[in-house]
Amino acid sequence: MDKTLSELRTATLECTFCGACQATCPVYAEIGSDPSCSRGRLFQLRNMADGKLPRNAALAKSLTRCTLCMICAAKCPAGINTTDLFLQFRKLVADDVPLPALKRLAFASLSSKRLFEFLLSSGSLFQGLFLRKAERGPGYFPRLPLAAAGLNKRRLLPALAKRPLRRRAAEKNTPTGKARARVIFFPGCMLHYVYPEAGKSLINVLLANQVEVLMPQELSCCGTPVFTSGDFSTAKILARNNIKTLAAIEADAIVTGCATCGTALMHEYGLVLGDDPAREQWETLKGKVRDFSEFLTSLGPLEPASPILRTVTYHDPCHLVRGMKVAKEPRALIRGLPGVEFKEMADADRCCGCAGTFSAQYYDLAAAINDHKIQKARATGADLLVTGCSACRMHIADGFTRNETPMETLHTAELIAQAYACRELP
Amino acid sequence: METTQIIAAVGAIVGTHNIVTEKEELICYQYNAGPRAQSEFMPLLAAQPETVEQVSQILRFASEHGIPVFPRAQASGLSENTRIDMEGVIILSMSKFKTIEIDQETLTATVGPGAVTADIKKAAAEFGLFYPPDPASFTYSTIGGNVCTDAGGLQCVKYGTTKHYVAGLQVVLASGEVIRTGGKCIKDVTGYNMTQLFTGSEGTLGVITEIILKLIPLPEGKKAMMVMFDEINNAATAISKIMVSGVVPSIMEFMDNFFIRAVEEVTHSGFPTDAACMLLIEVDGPLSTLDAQVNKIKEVCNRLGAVEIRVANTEKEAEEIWNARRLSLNALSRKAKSRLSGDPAAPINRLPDCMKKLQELEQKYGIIITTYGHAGDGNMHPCFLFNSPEERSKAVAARNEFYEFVISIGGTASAEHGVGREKIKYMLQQFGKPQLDLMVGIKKVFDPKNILNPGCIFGEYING
Repeated sequence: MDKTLSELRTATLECTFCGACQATCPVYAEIGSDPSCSRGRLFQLRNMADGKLPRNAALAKSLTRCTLCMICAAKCPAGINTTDLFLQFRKLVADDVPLPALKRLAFASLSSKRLFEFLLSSGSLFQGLFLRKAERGPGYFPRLPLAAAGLNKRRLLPALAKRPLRRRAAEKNTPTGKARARVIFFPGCMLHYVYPEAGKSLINVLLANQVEVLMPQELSCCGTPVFTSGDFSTAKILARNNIKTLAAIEADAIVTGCATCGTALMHEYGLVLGDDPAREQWETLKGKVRDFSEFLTSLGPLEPASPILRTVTYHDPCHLVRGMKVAKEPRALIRGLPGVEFKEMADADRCCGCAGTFSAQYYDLAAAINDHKIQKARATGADLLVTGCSACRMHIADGFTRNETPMETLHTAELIAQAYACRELP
Repeated sequence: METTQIIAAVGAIVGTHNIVTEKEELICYQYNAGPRAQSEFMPLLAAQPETVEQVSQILRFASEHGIPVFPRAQASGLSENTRIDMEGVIILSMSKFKTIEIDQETLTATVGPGAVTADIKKAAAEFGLFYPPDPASFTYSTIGGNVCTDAGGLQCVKYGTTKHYVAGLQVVLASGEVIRTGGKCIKDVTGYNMTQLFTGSEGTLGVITEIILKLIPLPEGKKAMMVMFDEINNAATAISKIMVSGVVPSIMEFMDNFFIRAVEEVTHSGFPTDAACMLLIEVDGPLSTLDAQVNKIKEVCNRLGAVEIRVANTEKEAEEIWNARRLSLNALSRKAKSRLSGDPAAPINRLPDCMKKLQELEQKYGIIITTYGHAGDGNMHPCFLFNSPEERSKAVAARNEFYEFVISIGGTASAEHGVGREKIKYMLQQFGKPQLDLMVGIKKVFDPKNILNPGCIFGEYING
């Protein structure tokens, strides 16, 4: 048994099989079988480490049928960090069970930033070929099941932006007057290519608050879809590039507008890098990573002037509430906007079911999980759902369309931008 | 019958999406809650029926072919209640039966066995109603398991155990026939009390598919306190004196020094690590009565030499105490490789004798025995810690001696976890042969082919 496997096995032994994870797990709530939740999975992994179960496709499936929402880790009485553990096991199993060809291709293009950039930017030109326009709601239904890219035939996807964020915002964005702070903005793929207007709105809000915003061209994908699929070596390339880019610039904070990127930069790079030489530099950077809402709150937002007469509810992205431990700040910011009526939804911190490639691989399951979110959102009577993760937003918007719910979805920054009269339109 | 035929038959009943048949997945049914070894047996399949009709069809099929059925939901039981101990069994998971309906007019809740107990409490509270039983696992254990083991918890001292709230059941018998027992009537003495017979039967008499629970109005307020003693004996005496003082606490928990330190290390709740032992007490009721209740308890404890009394000032402070208490077993698992524990109970006036006995056993066997428990109702959780095979055999001997002692002074082997497969050896001593024969006879009437959770409660006694 190699050292890593033996260490991982020891971690699984902490489980007392109490079943607390089952009572919280969104996947278990739909499937109801023991292997669909952490308790069963930890037991499988223990048996795998003991050589009683082969590292085969069945085990790989068990490991991927999890949204990595971290709720079981938060509630585990034995304090097991299930999420980190499963990520490391995904890596081990991926070594033996190859990823699907499409995923491999997509990940290869990710590590070549230029190719990825080309594919996604030119994607908007070709999307009519692959996507059919939705009859209701803003976006497209894919014509081909491009599972690797997080697509699925039946899911409503936002159109890829005609102009990605890079063509809407400069590398250096300077406020008029004296800057209160200087930050690097890490946009990530979703704010860059899918919702660039949200990314631009975020920059605009920071500018309106006298913050200088840098967005270096060299930043790449954070690597989450890659390492959550077990491909740590591609993720390492991306991590090293991002760390090098971020370390080269003096700034007060590294601001993210996507909780998934934030959690990766803050915590998961530690797992990805292992004892890689880039780790030392990362250790000096990770403490500077702040979600946009947290940064703005600690800075003290200037008073916004434009009233927004809307009833708003908020969804906690797993990576924001549990990954970055940010929950109060976005709520306080939203409540503070003139004219906004805020309605808290039940189970706001329950996973929406998206979880990136999970929702492509298990669309029906992801949709069933999502339906609970839609019901709870609708019950608030709000006409707008705001959240801090673009993947959640995409999945929830899909859920609204599927459930014929006339509610809009926005990034927190877009709503706030509206109050500063600086919202970027699509 | 071939395994493939059984899989096909059950799959046809529940649908392929509700059946688990692959080895990689079935292995997940070989564990059980608590520090016990993996079962050496692999079930044939796990089925998750969604309707009563499906449960009925599965049991009819299993009866016809003599296939053992292990009904379960969360499987968080602590007495090996659903541990597989034979080949060729069907796991019957009730996880899809999780409806919760509150009926304000009759003060009842109608729930599925797979509903999590905390969710029932929450649903009742929305109507200002209260479902009191609170096993330490209530945030994740399901009501089906609670009913099947007559689960207790912290608040039993005042409110009683699960059985006091079970008013009616829908049960599928081994034959596949469906019956209803009890109902929403407050008074009901027509015929034998079948509801209570199924309650605590650990899935050996039938499969529960619906439960009607009694609810009571939510108490207006509550107040928690910690009382520290430097003599275990004084604390044990205080417990029975409080109970006859005219105040009935809603919770009265006991922790010895070793336990206090284990919990404090994990939770940092401000527990007093230098006290010999501690009582955690809560009173509830109309707001105007709380201070008087607290004062009465203070008076009794001071008379018995309490060294310190702390009253929680806010609900939040109180909740921290109870959360720390609920995490105690997990905290303990860090202190030794493994442990034997249990849930015996004695009449409350004999608690001082029990504590003395445990101290003697600790000396005699040279192992660590640490105790916590729901002292107010006489229910203890002594834990016999071990780190080696030698220590394990000492722990086994010490535990056996303690159980024998408890039973000899009018106590019981299991107060709230059930017999399961863990406490079968104490059944004969506690009941004597005539009563044990009677119980086995009842089991045979309900389940003539012994297909329902066979091996549970009776083990080999079932064969005479």
